[in-house]
Amino acid sequence: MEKNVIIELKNISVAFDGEPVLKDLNLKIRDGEFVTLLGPSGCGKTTTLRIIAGFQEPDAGEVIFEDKCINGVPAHERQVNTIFQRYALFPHLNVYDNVAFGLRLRKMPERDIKQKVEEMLELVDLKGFNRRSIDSLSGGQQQRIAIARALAVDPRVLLLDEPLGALDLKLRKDMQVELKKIQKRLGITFIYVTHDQEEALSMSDTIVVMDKGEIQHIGSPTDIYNEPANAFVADFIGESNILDGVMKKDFAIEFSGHVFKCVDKGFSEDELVDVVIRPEDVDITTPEKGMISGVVTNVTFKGVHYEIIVDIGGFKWMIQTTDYSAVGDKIGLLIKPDEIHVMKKSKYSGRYGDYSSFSDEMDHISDVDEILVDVEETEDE
Amino acid sequence: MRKLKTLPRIYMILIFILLYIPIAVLVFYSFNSSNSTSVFTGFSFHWYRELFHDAATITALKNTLVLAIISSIISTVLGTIASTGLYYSKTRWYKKSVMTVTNIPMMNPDIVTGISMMLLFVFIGTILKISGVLGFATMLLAHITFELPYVILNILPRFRSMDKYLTEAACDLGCTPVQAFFKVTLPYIKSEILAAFIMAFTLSLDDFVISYFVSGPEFQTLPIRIYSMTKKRVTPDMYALSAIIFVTVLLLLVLTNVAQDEDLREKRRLRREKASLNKVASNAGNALPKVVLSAVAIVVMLSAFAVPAFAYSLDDYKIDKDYYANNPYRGTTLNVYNWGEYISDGAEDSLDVNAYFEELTGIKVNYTNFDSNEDMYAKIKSGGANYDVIIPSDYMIERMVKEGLLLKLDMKNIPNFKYIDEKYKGLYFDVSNEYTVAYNVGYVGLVYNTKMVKEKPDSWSILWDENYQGQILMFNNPRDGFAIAQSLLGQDYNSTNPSDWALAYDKLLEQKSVVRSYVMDEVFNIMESGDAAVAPYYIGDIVTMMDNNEDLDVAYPKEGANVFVDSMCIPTTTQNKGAAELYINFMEEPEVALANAEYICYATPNVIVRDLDEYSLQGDEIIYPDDSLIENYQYFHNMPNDVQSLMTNYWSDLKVDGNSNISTYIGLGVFALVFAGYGVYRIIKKRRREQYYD
Repeated sequence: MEKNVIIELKNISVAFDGEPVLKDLNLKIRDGEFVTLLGPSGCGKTTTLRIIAGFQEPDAGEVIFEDKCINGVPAHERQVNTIFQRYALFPHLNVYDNVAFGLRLRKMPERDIKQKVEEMLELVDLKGFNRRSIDSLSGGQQQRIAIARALAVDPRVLLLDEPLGALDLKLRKDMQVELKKIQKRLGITFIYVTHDQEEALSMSDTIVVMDKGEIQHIGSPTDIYNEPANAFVADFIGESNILDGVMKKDFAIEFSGHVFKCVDKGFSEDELVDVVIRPEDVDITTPEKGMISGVVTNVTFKGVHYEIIVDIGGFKWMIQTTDYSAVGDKIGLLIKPDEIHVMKKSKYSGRYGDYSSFSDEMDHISDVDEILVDVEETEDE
Repeated sequence: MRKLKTLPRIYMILIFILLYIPIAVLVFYSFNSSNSTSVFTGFSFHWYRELFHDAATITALKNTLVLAIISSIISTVLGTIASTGLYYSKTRWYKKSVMTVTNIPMMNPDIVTGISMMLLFVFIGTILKISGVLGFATMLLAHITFELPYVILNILPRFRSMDKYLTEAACDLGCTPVQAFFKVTLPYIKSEILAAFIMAFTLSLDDFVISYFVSGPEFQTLPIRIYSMTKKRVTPDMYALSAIIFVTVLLLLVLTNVAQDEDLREKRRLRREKASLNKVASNAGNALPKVVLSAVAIVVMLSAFAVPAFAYSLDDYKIDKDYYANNPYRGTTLNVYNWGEYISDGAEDSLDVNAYFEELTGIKVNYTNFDSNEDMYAKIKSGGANYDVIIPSDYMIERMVKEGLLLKLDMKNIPNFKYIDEKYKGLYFDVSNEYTVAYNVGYVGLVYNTKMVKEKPDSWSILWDENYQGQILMFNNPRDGFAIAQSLLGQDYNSTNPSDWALAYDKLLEQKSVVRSYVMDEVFNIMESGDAAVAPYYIGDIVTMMDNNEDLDVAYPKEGANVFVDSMCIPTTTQNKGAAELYINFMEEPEVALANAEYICYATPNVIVRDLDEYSLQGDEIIYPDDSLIENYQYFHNMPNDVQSLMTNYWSDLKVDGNSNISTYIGLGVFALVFAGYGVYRIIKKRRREQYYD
């Protein structure tokens, strides 16, 4: 699978009105890959995409496309195409003319255009929609037309900016499968921007997790999930309990007042670290048998499993289990060595992974109710 | 339920009546055979024929259309570019300030815009040493300026609803930014652009105030021409013109609607039949029929007016044609500035004086109109326009001489000055006959309805007579109004003694209860239809009224009234003094003066004409009253500023009823209170809501 790097971003920095949006970003994207830029809003993922598309010039750094620097090459001369968040279909043209738009600009003979358009409409499953106006299409159909329009001009790289954001859940799932299928079939590079971690995990070959204009972690979906680089990544991808730990020695770590066996090594002795334990990786047992124990403070039924919050020495854990426990039960926890992931301390340490706000939030809301009642009572007087 | 249905219907009918009755009346009277607006004397196309013979109106119409088309095209293009730029500009404060600046001309009163533009143009003209800078170019600039905000306001909101990634998508697919604008942005806003164009066109078409100030002698538009028809009244051929314009607009609307329907049908048909391959071509063609249609309609309208017919009467009078043919000014241009409807212009088979002059001399005449001495004065004083001949009234000449705005005439070049009645030579405003040649003489007289007033009145006191309460009309301008009271009091019209004016004011106040209304041009309708018994007005106009209603008669009150002389002068702005003198001389040629005297119906100071057998008004006792009738008549002089303001203040006091004044203030106060109360209520409500926020 050693493929050529098609796009490389070198030391890219961008600031809007003095506010840094991307800080010294470096990224290599290989030909034929499905790469997802994942992160919360404002993390710079869309800006990265726009830099590749040519809508945004970086303040510093180089954009390299197939070993050539394309800084300053305008958007219409780049071999990349974009699917926009709201599709940006041309409302004054019908379906056929929308898809044919890029082909006409390339001065292709009308006969060939027709063939290509038909081919594209077939690809996105909208054969026979030629003369429909854009307004008459549903959101999902517009999405497909946008894909057909972008793919019609045979781009080397397709950029997708949260393309499924406006669709409902069911349609979104279908389109994820569809997009992945199209990407596999055409074998072109997809760079996909989303804030939906599930979407990223299910579709991508490589995920680039970003926050505050910086790349936090690059890796395959399993890498990212199982071996998050820092507390931010761990928290952003799925649910995590993130605890402060002390690396006693190789393969031994202490947290929650207990020394656990683990599979991590290479830290210095007594180094302070972050420990990630996924909620589904904890087994429940009696307090006596457990490595550590605590009191259940909250139970939520989630269908496949229960989500329970356990207070262990003041730190609240989230545990996903099929076994029912009642609030107030004392339970013990078992954690296998390979379920423990140890990370170096980062600037994100201590900010994520504690579920104490989980129940507090409820309290807070009930407080608000009381306040409102109070106000109304005084009004009546 | 019945009520609910009928109410909206009544409402609809009312709206239609209000909107269309005036137009219906106008169209109806355009077919009237006489020029009365109150008496329908029979069906005829007379005024339509007149219209096509009225070269000045046709030229004005042509000018109006040319100006409207060019200015609206330019402002639409500029506005589109500006809107696009504004939409894509990133800085918010820049956008906001530009919008505010563009909106100001819209909020600004037209009169302020007009005057400031005139000043600017004149100023620039002075710097660049261009004399007579006012003309087509300045009008075009002015029209573009005031149309621009409306265009931007029409187009910009459309951008707001546009997906901001639309143009990026186009670039992404291979468009250069320019291509993206034409292929995506322009189609998106095209209907707004069309709407903006139509709006700009109509705005330009009916603008008067701004146009008035920035127009020059070579270029006058229809609104200016119509507004300046005040020396005499608006002629019915304007009704005909309005009717034609209305019908054309109506046709245009119907045609575009039909075309749009066809468009839709065509689209549907195409959808069914044509292969998608050919779709693009038809897409581009869709907009075409509408454009072509409107273009054709405009061309038809233009060409209908393009061929004015000149009608000459046979000249039985000896004019030394060689004298006029052998002039050194052939090929030059002469700018004449006169009252509206104050020259024989070819209408009703009369002599087209200006065309005749052009034919004889080879000098081109730009003939334009003003509607008051004061407006004309402002135009000359600004120095922005090169008028060569002007025809102001006596008191204004006095003022202009004092201010050095007039040139001395070389009487060697105006031999026909000898035809001028000695009575009209050496008048107070030009004692030594250096600046003026008299053009017309007029008197104020009393018109009365013989069915209502049994005995021929001989005094202005009839206007105070309680027997005619509610049937008395009075002048609606201070100078003429006061003159009537001053006559009764035996005062000098030009008195500078404040107590004289106070007495006259008391006299007018005394009259107020019996006056039906204070009128100017409205007097025609009211008197002709027999709705009022007596009114003071200008003799020439009274003659017109008498033509339309046999029951009317005229009287010269013994206390006297105003006599006025309008004279030809050459302002210092002239660029062609020799031709101007030639023109003045020409105007006093018996043949020409006769045509003017017949047409204008005022008294001519030309003694030859008065005695010509061919003169239909020869010896007319109304137009040429016996000297004994007018021995107490007085001229107006230019008034000092303080007297002027004293008079206008008295006049507005007279016109404003003390009680209605108070009730206006009360009304305004109540309005302000309600407004303030609502504001307080809103604030309190908001405060109460805010309590719940935290």
